[in-house]
Parts: sequence; C-alpha cells; structure tokens
Amino acid sequence: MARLGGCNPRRDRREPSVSHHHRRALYAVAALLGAAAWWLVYRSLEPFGQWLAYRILGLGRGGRAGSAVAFFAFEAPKVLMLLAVVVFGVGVVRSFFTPERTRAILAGRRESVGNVLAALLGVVTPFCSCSAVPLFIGFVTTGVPLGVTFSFLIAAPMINEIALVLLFGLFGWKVALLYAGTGLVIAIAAGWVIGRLKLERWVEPWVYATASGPAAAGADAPLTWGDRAAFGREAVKDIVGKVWPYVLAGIAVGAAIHGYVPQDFMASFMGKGAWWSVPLAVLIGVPMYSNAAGIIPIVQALLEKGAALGTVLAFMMSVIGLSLPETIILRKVLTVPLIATFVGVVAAGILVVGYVFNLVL
Amino acid sequence: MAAGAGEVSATGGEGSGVKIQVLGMGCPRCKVLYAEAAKAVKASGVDGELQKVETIEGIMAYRVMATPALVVDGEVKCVGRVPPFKEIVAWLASAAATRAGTGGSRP
Repeated sequence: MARLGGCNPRRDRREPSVSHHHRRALYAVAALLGAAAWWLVYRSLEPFGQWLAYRILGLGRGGRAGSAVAFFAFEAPKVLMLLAVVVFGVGVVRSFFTPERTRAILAGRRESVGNVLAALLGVVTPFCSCSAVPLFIGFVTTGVPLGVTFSFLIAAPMINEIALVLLFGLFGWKVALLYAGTGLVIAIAAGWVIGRLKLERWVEPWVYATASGPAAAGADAPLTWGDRAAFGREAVKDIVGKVWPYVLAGIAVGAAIHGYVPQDFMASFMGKGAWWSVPLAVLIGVPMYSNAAGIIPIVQALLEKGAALGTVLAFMMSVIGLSLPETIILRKVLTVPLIATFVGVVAAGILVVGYVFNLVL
Repeated sequence: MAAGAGEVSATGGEGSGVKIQVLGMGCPRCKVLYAEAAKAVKASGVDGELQKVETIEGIMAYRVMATPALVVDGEVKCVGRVPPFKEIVAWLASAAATRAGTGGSRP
C-alpha cells in the first residue's frame, strides 16, 4: 500500500472528479464574497465606534470617556480583523517555505548575498524558537555559513507578523515599514559581522560532528491551494486564538491613554533630548521577554506619551528580537563567548537604529 | 529502511507493537503532540508503543530541523506542527497494516 509522508491532511484524498472544477469555482466565488464582506465591515468600523460611543452610550463628543470608548470600539475589531487576514496570508505564504527548502537555498552561499537571503527567508520560513537548536545544527552541518545562519536566526523572531499588523493598525504603514526594514538591516548586518569574525571555533565542537543530511520526511510533497488555505486557517486558529486577549488588553490600555493621559508625559525622559534613553531602553529590553502581542500596548503607551520613535523601536526590538529563553536554548550549541558576541552585535545594531531614527525623524 | 537512529527497525518483531516517537525538547507544542499521539494510540486500537525523544542527539538522528516531529516505525511522518488527530490515527493504522502484511506472509 502507498506510504504517506509529510503532514498534508488532504494529499491522499485528492482524486480527479467531474465536480472538481465546479468546486474550485465555488471556492473562488466564496473567497471573493468573503473578501468583499470583510472589506465592507472593515470600512464601517470607524463610524460604528463613534455611533456606539456618542449615540448609543450618549457620551460627550470630545470628552475623555467618549474618545476612549470610540477608540476601543474602532480599534479592537479593526486590529483583530487585520490580524486574522494577515496571519492567514502569512500561513499560506509559509506553506511555500520549509526549513529544508530554505536550507537548500542557503547552503554554500557567499556571505553577503547569503546574509540578505537568510534574513528575508527568516521572515517567511515557519520557525519557533523551540526549534532553534535542530535548525542551527541542520544549517551549519550542511554548508550554510555560520554568519548566514545567524542572519536567519536573528530575522526569524525579530520581524514578527503580529507586531507588524499591530504597528500598522495603530500607527500606520510608515512605522510598520520602518520596523520591518530596520529589523532586516540588523539581521543582515549582525550576521555579516559574526561571519567576518570567524567564530566557528566557538560553536560547541560536537555540533559539526553531528551526522546530517536531507530530512527523511517527504516534506516537499506538492500541496494544493486547498491545503495551503488549510495551513492559513490553522495558523489563524492557533495564533489569533492565543493572542486575542493580549490584543484586547493592549487596545484597552491604548484607549485609556488616548482618553485620559496628557500628551508629552514621557517626552522629558524618553524624548529625543535624552541621549541616554536609547541604551537604557536596550538594557531594559534585552533581558525582558514578551510575545509581540504583549509588547505593543507598552509601545503604544510610550509613543502616545511623547517618547521618541527610535527609542521605542529599540526597546521593542530588544524585547522581541533578543530573548533570554532563546539564548538559553542556543547555549546547547554555542559556547558562552559566542552567545555574548551574538547578543552584543545585535544589541549594538538595535542601538544604532534607535539613534538613527531619533536623529532623522 | 535505514533512516533513523538505528534503534528502530521497520520490519520489527511480530510481538512488539508499532513504535511511535514524539521528537521535541519539551516545548508546549511537543507536549500537545505527545498527548494527541497517546489519544490516537488508544482510539485506533493499534498495539502501539509511545516514546518521547527529548535529547538533541536523538532528535538529530532523524535529521529534522523543526520540532515537534512524529516518527512511526522509524519513518518521519510530520515535522514542525501538530497534525490533525485523524491523520495520526491513519498513520498508526497503516503502520499496523504494514506489519500485519509482513507477518501474514508467514505460515
């Protein structure tokens, strides 16, 4: 009997049938209608928020409570809707990338090009920091240079789709783009620096002795669009199902700040004028660990109270890009000097980004 | 087949059950997969032997680059995600059928 490999739930059931084309057309129509409905609802959220706050609850226009409620009733569904769509899209995109395929692209690359590719692939390849060790070994033992591997390992957690959506939803596309762009630059530059330093001798010696090679699983089996959509749906169920309370809490905090806290509250000690605020933000952020959904409310609070954007970005990146649990996991394959170099180089990159943005913007 | 740690042979002895291994160093999703696999063994009625592989050497022996991973009779079935329950049951059933097939060829 046929052996099934991989994880694809439907591959074995795909049989040619007369109704196949009809079903495909039906799916396309349903997807189109769904997208149209999504767009209509999304567009009417802002009037809905105002209608709820001012008409139904009868709160005064321009008052504190009114603007807080209107903010929450608009932002909460908006961010959740955006999140669902983006997580679905990212799930579908990630179904095209597996660690095996990424490794095949990166193996034997020259460093500069390899660093750029690795950082980009780090964004789209499915990755969880608990898999960092098998991934690291799988990469370096099959000819992916150490610095290129680091570019991947830095970009993967740093550029987070949830953070990207929340930043876009709450602060607009410029801030979201800045975050993604600077994250990529840090991952590329830090990986390149680590590669130049030739630190292979600081990898735990047994790593290079590990037998490695192509995976045994049939991970490259062809997927149908239905399978990819299933990937996306699963990602939505998994991620949105987990982070929605954080998102709501974050927006509630944001709403309260929006309505009640005076402007420029933070400006004196996290504004552009305070030169020490960027290193302080990084120093506080590196040992802190939070998921992206949990950090955004803090980002929002800081920005609304007048903190400088560069300082806030530096804080956020050092929290989600460098985490204590991940470095502890990586300690299994890296010696302490290499971990220290890794954290130091990435932190330095974040520092530079913070200063540059405070200077330019 | 030669893939795997060398501790598992796909042909197996008649007496031993289907060998199911969950690879992962203790991440939350690895625990979920282990629980799902345990449920699947019960539900499928397959004579199965469930095992956790938590050492990095044990995991790398299967050459996977993401966890959790599921190995049935030495064959990597799934990497980096928790497959649907029904799918695990199907893998167990087909592994058991393969074993029964090789066993049945004898008198």
